[in-house]
Amino acid sequence: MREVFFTKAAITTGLGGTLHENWQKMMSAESAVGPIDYFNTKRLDYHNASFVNDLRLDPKVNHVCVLTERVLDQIGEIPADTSIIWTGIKGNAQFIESGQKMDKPYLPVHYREWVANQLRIENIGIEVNAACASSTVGLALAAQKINSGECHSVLVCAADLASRFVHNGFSALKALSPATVRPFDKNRDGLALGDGAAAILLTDKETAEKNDYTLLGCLKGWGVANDANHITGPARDGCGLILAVENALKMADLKANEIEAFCAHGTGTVYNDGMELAAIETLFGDKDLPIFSVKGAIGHTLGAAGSIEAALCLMALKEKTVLPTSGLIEAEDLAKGRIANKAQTFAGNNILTTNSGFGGVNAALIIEKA
Amino acid sequence: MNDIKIINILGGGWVSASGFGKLSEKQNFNLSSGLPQIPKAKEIFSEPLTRYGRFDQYTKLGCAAIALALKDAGLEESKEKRPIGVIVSTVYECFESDMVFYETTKDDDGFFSSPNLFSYTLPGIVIGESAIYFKLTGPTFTVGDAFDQIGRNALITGLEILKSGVCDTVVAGWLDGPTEIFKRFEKEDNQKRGAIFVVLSSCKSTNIYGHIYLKNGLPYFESGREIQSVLDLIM
Repeated sequence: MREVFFTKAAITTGLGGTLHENWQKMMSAESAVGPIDYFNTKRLDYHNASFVNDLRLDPKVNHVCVLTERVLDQIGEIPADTSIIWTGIKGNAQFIESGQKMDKPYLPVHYREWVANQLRIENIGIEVNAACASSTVGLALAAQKINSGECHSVLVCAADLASRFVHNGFSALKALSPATVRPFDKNRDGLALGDGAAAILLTDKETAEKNDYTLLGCLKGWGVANDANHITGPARDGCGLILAVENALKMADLKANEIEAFCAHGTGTVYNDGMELAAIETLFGDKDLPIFSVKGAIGHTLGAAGSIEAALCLMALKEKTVLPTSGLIEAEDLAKGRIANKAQTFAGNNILTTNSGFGGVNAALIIEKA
Repeated sequence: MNDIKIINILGGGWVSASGFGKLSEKQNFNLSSGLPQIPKAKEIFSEPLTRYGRFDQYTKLGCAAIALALKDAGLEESKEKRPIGVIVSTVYECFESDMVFYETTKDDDGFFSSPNLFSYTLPGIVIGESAIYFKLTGPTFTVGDAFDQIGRNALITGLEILKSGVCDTVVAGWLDGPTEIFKRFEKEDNQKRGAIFVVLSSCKSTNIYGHIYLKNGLPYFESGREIQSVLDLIM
């Protein structure tokens, strides 16, 4: 079993163009969620999202590619034998919204081929879709490929847009917040979408040493489980998330009390956050465990969310600090003492990050400080 | 590195333009062109699946083939949830359903957008529906295929999962539903439509249809012949 290391990580969101900029602004509890200018929401009850403001200047170019290019530029050169895992989930929205007036329909296979071409990589790899847990599952699969010796280096890459297509869909499901996104708040009332992209390079130790990469963190364990409950609603007892975390703990050979911080999915919807709090209670009992969500700051970035959050976890491990949860005013009862609208410090070296998605999927990663 | 773990094929099911069937029936499978002949719920589900009628075509097609595969493997029924994974390869995903949903968003700034149709605009919803009905709690997600791979990446990923010991049974296969729009973009050769799933397991069973393994990231029959797609397992 080979160890798997995070060796490069880049993100871009409505809050900032780099991981460092995002971290700094999130530490100040800033939020990029604001009024939607790019499409009309007059007849809806929901008018907010987080946008990368200079992204949509040219309607003829593919905005997912533009966003992805920004993280690939930050990643720079990567080993030639790197395999690609693409985890963006709604890359066809612009094609559909344009009235099909683009050069191709932009299927996921087109994106992974595009990424491979951009990086001049031969192994175009695969794309993974696990709804809003896609990046998390992508990182897990990447780890598995390195762990087994099949690959030495895998780039997990994703971008998704706060599109009219998805905004209208979540609006129809009444899953959006009419006001401020408040993860784990007593008065939370929904999510907001956000533009976002991430690229994360995982390698084995030999590849990291050969290329003189800094070890940013070690992916110790992962778990993916379905709750077999409902296609758009999570099991209220968190059974799927519990199973995913238990599997990750088993793989990492850790006990729950050895997890020192938790980056939650924390969308800000009543049901998701309630499910997560039920799972946290079952898994961690009365353990002192700081938790946080970044979706009040950058919105829900769909397929990119898991990678963005994993990158922020690397910063959290480095700084021994979890981010403030933007939007939080009064914590839900089960979250009291764990979540805060200001930064919290923690001791220890293991952080847990999880995401859950439509179709009942739940995914968990345990990252150890390198 | 790359220790070989032999995996058993416990069953298989398919739906194509020529009909539907199971691996055990030893019918001549034919991936003929044309729209898949999606079976009615009563033809495949022993317990009523009342939501089946509301599924989009992609989800109906996938659920039907997964049901046939599980039935073939004797794993159709269970009183308890069980850690079986489902990995689906797809090129076109649920694109047709995306288009149908988008039509509902066009008027009045999206005021009349359909929540039910939006639910089916993710390619993994078919797995969610199957997981609910068959009580499956293992890893569940879709992986892409190149245009001519027909389930190869799901097979590889399923074998990787089994090899890692994360769970001991996985349903893996291919699903591509009707998508008229792509006739504009892809050659007619790429217009393959249908669903094929196999049940792979590291557990012993009384009915085993074959043995396969993963070596250096590639799938092989026990004979040493490389598997190119799930078609190789069903034909």
